[in-house]
Amino acid sequence: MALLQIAEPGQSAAPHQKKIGIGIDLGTTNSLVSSVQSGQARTFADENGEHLLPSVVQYQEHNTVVGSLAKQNADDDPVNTIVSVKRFVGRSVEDVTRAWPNLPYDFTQATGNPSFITAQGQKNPIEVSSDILKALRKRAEQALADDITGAVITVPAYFDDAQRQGTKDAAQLAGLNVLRLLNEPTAAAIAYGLDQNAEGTIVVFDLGGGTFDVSILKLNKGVFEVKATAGDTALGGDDFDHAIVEYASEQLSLDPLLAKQHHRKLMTAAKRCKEALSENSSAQFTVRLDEQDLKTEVSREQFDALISEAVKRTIETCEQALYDAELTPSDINEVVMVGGSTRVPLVREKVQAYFSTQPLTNIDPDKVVAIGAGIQADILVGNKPDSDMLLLDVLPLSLGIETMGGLVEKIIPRNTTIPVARAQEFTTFKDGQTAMMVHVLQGERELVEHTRSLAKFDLTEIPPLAAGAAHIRVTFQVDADGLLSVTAMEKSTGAQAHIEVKPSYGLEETEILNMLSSSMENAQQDMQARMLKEQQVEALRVIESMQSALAADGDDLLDDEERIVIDASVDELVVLSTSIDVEAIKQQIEKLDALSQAFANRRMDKAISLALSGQSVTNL
Amino acid sequence: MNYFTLFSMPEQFDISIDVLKQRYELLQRVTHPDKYASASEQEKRIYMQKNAQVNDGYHVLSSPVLRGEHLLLIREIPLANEQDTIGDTEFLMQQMDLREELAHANTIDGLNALESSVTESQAKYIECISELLQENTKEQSLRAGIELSKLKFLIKLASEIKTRKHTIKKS
Repeated sequence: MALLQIAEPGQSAAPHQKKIGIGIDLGTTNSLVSSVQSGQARTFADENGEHLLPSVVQYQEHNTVVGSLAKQNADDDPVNTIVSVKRFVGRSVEDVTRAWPNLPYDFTQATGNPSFITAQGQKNPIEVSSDILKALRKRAEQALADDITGAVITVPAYFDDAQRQGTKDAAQLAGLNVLRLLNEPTAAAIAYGLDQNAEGTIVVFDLGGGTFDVSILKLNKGVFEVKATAGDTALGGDDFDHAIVEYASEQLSLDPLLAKQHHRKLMTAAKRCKEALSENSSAQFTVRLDEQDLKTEVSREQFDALISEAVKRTIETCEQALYDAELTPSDINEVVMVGGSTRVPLVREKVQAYFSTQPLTNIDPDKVVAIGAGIQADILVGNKPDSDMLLLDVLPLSLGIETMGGLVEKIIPRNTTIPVARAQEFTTFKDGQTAMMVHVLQGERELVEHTRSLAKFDLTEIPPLAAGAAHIRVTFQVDADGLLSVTAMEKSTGAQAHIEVKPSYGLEETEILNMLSSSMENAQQDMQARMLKEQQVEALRVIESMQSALAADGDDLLDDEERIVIDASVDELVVLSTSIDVEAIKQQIEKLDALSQAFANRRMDKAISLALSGQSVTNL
Repeated sequence: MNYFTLFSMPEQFDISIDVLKQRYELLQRVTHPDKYASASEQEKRIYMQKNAQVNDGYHVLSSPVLRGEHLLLIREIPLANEQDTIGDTEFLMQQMDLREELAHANTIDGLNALESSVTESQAKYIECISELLQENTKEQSLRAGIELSKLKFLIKLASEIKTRKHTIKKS
């Protein structure tokens, strides 16, 4: 197996080789995967030609079923068939059961992190999500017949740190290299190329099967800022189907008991009828119950009347979002329609009337988010080096810490451009105090109980000093995916205080690793094989980027001695990267990393001053 | 970190916001993590840290208060504390009057009038700070620090006016 191609310095190993980035829309009801092929982002279908993968996973004793088959089995095996798992990610059992009291699942415990008890054993929401992601990954790999370099996964704009981290963990468990978590409304705007516009205010109207979200984005010179989001977690196309079922049952004088018994069949018939009504002024509702064909006609007018209350609620939610953003309908330049239920003509009419602008609908509303993610993935793997798209994102919810009296002190306010790092100083209040606890929260409210607890940090190994003499500088860093990490340092001694993170929701690093190894059949071997592959890929990345860096700037930015040391270290890594010694590869990468740190910084400074000097000249 | 240096701008209070914006965009183009999504861990790390500095630098330099404080930090001048400000009786009286007005303003028109007088007042402070900071002397810088902390009071007041307007509009 040829794992490594060595090229002349300055040339990438295979210049013509196209890297593959996929975009994944991990939805509550359905999920999709896409990729850019010959310049066009397309979603992939399964062997039956279906692009949408129902986000349903059934855990049979010896078998895991994902997608439409699992969905079909949901009624017969509700306890083992997990539907809409997205609602559980980064949430506690109480959070979910409060909103949806009639769930059919057995949980291992009534509080804290949810874990479903299934025929296959305990499954937590991250494992369930990763099974959906694995199915999508497999679909893409089969269609492309190639390895995937990385994936962009979309998340709702309002997702907090725990939900984002949970999504990323699920991807890691599914063996995906996450290039970026992207906000769903931003992805929809990218699919329509709205990032090309200089500025504007965009509404993304997302009406799915069971959820409704509206987001207001402000675009200014490539900066996408989420101004407001609003929504209804129990409003969607299912409500439209339900309205048709009720109407038809009445028209057909159906026995309520019979109707209840055949609810799923009736809902499917209603869905067909609804879809036909998007194209025609009337449609037949047909269903076969107890060997009898039943049939009644539904006109567009009747349908519109049935759903008018639900549609009105979507517009009221838009009003709320505009109000929060301090905007009026006339401030909106574009409206992007997302979700299958935006095909309903009445929805389009009402949206158009409210915003006085023709909503964008020419991209399939079921696929638009996945397509946007695919476009972004193609750029992030480096297939479009000349792309000048610059997507700046903001922190969706403020980050703060608990202070005296259960109050929240904001450290990083919402809408701050990410990545961002902010430091806060803490001091000891007792002589010789060597530990303290920091409680990190996310949300806009002022009381701790009204925000979301993200984690508690124990700062230990603080040097024992007089009360108030130790100054601990805690740095909160949020990366481009909106994920938080924390470091701490005692200022007078420079001692690094030790931090132990206890995430309030979601999983700790070790739990992820355990899940990773237990998910593989021949755990030990598979884990090692996977870790080896990962290290080899990273080694390749390091070698490639170091060789091109040396070719570009080696003569300029390194003296002879430095150059010899780095060259030797690269050569060593090249040799090691074909070995099977995971630990040795890892160590050599770290060694080269340390040796080349100064060089990397000089290159960055050079790139920065080059960019700025060009500017200064034109400015003079 | 000297943000003036990072943005290659003169180390002074009066800066062109247009040039700042242009530089910000250029720095984003060089340092944004999206450009390094498939790079080595080392590159990801150093560019992410640099990009966070670029974001923070833009945040600091585009705000008069933060820019002024940053300049004082570079000049190693301690920032004024609340005591220094409260020592100024005239300022204190003026603040009390403004707070009184805010407490009694119950209409949007009244709040708008108050808002524009606060905005005007802010502009005067900014002008004064800019003058004081032109020369890099300790005495002038210390005085600028006091004026900066007064400006902070006004900014806080302005945000309270906005919140009040929002509540009135809501009801």
